[in-house]
Formats: sequence, structure tokens, C-alpha cells
Amino acid sequence: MMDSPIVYVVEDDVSVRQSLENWLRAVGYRVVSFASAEAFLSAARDEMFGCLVLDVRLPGVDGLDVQSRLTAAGVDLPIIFITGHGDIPMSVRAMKAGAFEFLTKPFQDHELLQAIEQAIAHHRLCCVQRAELSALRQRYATLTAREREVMALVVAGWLNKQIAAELGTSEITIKVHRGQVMRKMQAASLPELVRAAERLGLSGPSAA
Amino acid sequence: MTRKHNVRLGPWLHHLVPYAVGGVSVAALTAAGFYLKVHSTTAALLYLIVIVLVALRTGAAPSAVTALLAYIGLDSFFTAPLFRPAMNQPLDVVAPIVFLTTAFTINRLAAKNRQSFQEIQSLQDQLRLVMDTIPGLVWSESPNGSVEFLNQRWRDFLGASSAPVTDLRRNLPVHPAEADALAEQWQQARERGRAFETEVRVRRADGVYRRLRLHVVPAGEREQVSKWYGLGTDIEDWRQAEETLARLESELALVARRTLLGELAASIAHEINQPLSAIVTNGNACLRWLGATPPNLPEARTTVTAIIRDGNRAAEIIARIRAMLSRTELKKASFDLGAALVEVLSLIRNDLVRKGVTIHTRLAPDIPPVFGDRVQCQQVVLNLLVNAVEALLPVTERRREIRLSAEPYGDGQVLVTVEDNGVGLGEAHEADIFDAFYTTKPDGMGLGLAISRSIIENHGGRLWCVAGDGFGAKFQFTLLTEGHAG
Repeated sequence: MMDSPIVYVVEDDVSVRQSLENWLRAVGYRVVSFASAEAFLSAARDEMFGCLVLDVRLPGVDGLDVQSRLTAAGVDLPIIFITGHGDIPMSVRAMKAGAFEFLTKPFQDHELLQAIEQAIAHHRLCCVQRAELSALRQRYATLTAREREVMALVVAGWLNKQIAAELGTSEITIKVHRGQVMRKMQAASLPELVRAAERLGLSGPSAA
Repeated sequence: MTRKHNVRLGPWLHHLVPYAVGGVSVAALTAAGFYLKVHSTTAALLYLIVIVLVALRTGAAPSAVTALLAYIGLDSFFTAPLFRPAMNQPLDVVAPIVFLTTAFTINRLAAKNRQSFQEIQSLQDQLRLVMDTIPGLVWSESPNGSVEFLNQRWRDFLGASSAPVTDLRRNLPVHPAEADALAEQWQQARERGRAFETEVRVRRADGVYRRLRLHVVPAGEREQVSKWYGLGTDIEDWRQAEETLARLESELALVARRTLLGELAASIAHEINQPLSAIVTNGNACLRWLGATPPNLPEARTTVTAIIRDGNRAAEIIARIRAMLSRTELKKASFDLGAALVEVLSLIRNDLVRKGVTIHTRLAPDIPPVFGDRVQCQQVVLNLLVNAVEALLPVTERRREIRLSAEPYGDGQVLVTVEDNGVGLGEAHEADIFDAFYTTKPDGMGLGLAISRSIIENHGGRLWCVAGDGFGAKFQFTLLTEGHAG
């Protein structure tokens, strides 16, 4: 899914839309543009990668509404707002709602380019983190119930002896389980396993 | 005559006083006459005088008693036989009749006189009560200006502490800004012997200036005015209410106009910004197409075509706005410029007074009718006047003045001038001030002069500006007269 990023443009004015498309192509991006917020929202998918260039003042739907609807739909594309008349209250509102950048038309070449590059880099990072998390979840899903119990106690800092006593089994058995957990979670060391557990949101009982 | 005595005397004695006076007078006269041996006729005359005097001041009974005493005195001491009464001479018969008749007649006349005097007195009291109660400031004055009567309300208004007002024309504490005008009006009315009405601010006893409406009328004909009567009405509260209303109205109108213009400007700005933004972005794109290796000429060409298209689009928008602004719904007709200007002045008068601006109007008597849209021309003048007032607001060290004049100008034209002694144009250049959206005011739109100029040019005239004589700015425009309009 991490193929080349796409810049999505939502702009009702045909001249502005076409000029943006043209310029983005000249810069070297892939561009998909929409004339209305509705058209974009119906096409929006959560696997979209890139960024969104969105006109604040669109007929029918407020650009800021689009932002909240995208968030609700789980689309995490960073949004660069563009406006013909950037007033401060509006830009503050947009930035608070999580806009990546707020630019006033006509924009300078480097301004928009920089904003798009940063937005894509940001989104790439988000996507990587998201991919890692989903991989961790898949690995965790392969653990047996006993292995999950052992993992919880291990990351909480318990010694094998303590875990064996707690679970009413031998220290050798615990060692075997522990080895399975490390292998299945693809953790090379205990700290790595702890980090994975943290990212999965696990928290075991603390050491007795 | 009893008034002096009744303070100490009881009611009984009080009644007897007139009798005593009559008796003592007769006795004194008798003694004096007898001692000086006056002739009986002389004595009779002197008695008569006493009777008349007593009858004038007292009632019927005391004067009758005095008449009888006088008769006895005359009969006993001045006619023979002396010292005893005897009806033996004609005077003895005539005297009592004359004495008594005189006593009664004089007494009745005096009573009548007293009655009418009381009536006059009560009438006067009533009149004074009316004058003092009437809700107005009433006065009368002689032709030379000295005050003859001021009602209580006037006196209260002017204050008891101040020196008594003897000449309203001189002593009235009129607001300094209006004193000259009032004096002139008064002088004119006096010379022509005509009534006049005016409004002035006069300082009340508590130091507050109140707006009074004065109405002064002469009594008598032109040349022989015997008196002037005046009525002043305090219209300050009414006037203030009216001014508040007018201010609210004009503020409302201003807000409405600003909102409209603001929206118009915002939408114009947005409309033009779109193609401009596209041009800039396409320009950047074009540079990149050309900068590529090798340069992508087909894409560059397409981009330049788009730039040209967007440039034309912006120009179209501007042309559309211009057409909209100068939309010709003119109702051109010939009209009286002087009357139109007077109407404008009446609109702005309250505002001028409130802001302490004096306006001098000079309309040439021979202005021919001009041809054009009356309302639009009035809007131009109003706009220039409003600008002038705003230029005057920072002025404090000299009188704020506006001169409005209209006069024939060259062949078939009329020249209107609005000149102020305000802050002037300063750094602003004449070329700039007529540009749309050029403004020196923090909350201005910068459309007033631009629209004014386009209105005047639509009428075949010109609108220009020169620095004022001394301070301020001078705006002038021309209009075509009837028959010279194309």
C-alpha cells in the first residue's frame, strides 16, 4: 500500500483546480482532483496515501466540515487548506481541528511545495506506524492463551521463578513459553517485547 | 386712609375713626375760620372742600355726619345771628342741601372708582398668573429694546442671581456660536418691523445651554411699532430626541451601506482572486515545464494558453463590475440646482450643527436649470459635504467652516464648489483620491469619490479637486445646463 503518494485536490473553481493539477504534475506528483467536497467524500478510502489540498470555501459544504467528516470516516490524509481570503479566526479554527497547513491564494511556489512535501512525509510516517501496529496485532493474535499470560507477566518484570509459582507450573515450562513468545512476537530482546506490549496497549500486573 | 391706624385700634374704634376725622376737620376749620373772620360764603366753600375730601376717603354715613356738622358750624359761627342756629338766610337752606348732595355724590363716585380699581387689580393679577403659569417664556419690550415685562418662567430661566435683564437683545446669554446670527436677525426684524422666528441656544441659570424657539411679533404698523411681544419655547428635549432619532437613522443607513459595500467588495475581491491565483500557479507550473530536461514544450504551451484564458477571465470580471456600478438607470431631466442643493443642506444640517461646522452657502441668482439625474447629483454633493465634515473633525484651533457655492461657468455649464478648511489632502495625490478603494479613512471603502466622479462624467461634467485657499480642500464639479446637454 505504500506506493507513490497522490495529491488529492478539492477545488470548485475550474481555473484554480486545473492550474493546481498542472503545477503538481509539473512538480512530479500524481494528482487526482475533485470539483466538489461530495465527490471527494464518496471516493475517500482509508488506504489513501498522500495529502489533500482543500479549498475552505466550497459551495454546499464548508471545508472545515469535510475535515471532520474525513476524521470520522477514519481517513487520516493530512489536509492543506487553501483560501481566497484567509482570515485569522478561520485559520485558527482549521489548525485547531488538525489542519496541516493553511495557505492563502495565490500561493507561492515554494510555500505550497514545502507544505505538500511535509504533509506527505508526515503521512508516510503515520502509515509506517500504522502498518507496524497492524503487524504487531497479527503476531499477537498467533499467541496461545497461556503464552499471553506469560508475556503479560514477563513484560511486567516478573522472574521466571515467580511466574512459575503464580501460574502453578515449573520454571522449565515457563522458559519454553517465554521462548515461544519472543519468537512469535519477533522480539530480539526483552525491551523490544516491552515496547511491543506498550504499543499494543497491554499492561500486566506489576511484580509482587 | 384707615389702613395706618387699624393696626392698633379695635374694631369699634376703627369704625369711629372716619367720624372723628370729619368732626375734627370741621371743628378745626370752624375755629380757624372764626378766628380769621372769613366771610360766610368763603366758609361754606371751605366746608364743601372738607366734605368732598372726607367723602372721597370714607363711607356714606361719616360724610353725611360731616356735612351736618359743617352745616351747624356754618349756621352757628358764620351767619347772623351768631352762636345759635336759625334758618333766616338763603344760605341756611341752600347749604345743608348742597353739603348733603355733595357728600352722597362724591361718596358714590368714589365707591364706583374703588370698585373698578379692584376689578382692574384682580384682572391684572389674573393676567400675571396666566403669564407666569403659561408653559413658555413670555416677554414684552419697547421699540428701543428695553424689557418691560418678563414672566416668572423667564426670570427663573435666566436666574434670580444674575443682574436683572433690561435688554434681551444685549443681555440674553446666547451661545457664542449663535450670538451673531441672532443679533443680525433681530436687527433686521427691528428695521423692517416684521415678526420673526428663530432657534437659539441660551444658557439657563444652571449653566446648561437650552435650545429655545423664539417667536417675536411687533405691535403696531411698520413705522410705528409701539411694542414687541415675544414667546420662547424650550425645545431642547424635543430637539435632542429628534437628533437622537436622526443619528440612529443615519447610523443605520451607514451600517447598511457599509455592509452592502463590504459584501460587494469581498465578493469582488474573491471573484478576481480566483483567476489571479490560477495565473500565478500556472506560471509556476510553466516555469517547471520549461525548466525540465529536456523542456516539456507542449505542456508549457498548454499552460500559457490557460494563463491567457484566466487573464481574460479576470478582465471580464472587472468589466462586469464596472458595468454594474455605472448601470444607467438615470432619470435625466432639467432641474433647479439651487433648490436641490438646499434640500441636501436640510439633510445634513443636524449633523453640521452637532459637529460644530458652519456652512456658508452662496448660490448665484442667475443659475440656469441644469440637466441630469437630480438624485444622483444630490448624492455627489452630499458625498462631498460628508467628506468635508470628516476632514473638519480633527480641526480644533480654528472655526470649522464649509463653503458651498454654485454659479454659471463658461458656456452652458454650472460650477459647484465644496470647500472646507479641514485637514486637507496631505500626502494624497489628486490622481489617487478618485481611484476606487483608495481611502485615507480608517473605516472608509474608498468608493465615494470614484462613484461621484463616474456620476458626474456620466452627466457630461467633470469633478476635480484643488488644495483649498489656506487650509483644507476644494472640490469642484460642473454640470451641463438645459439645452447644452448632449
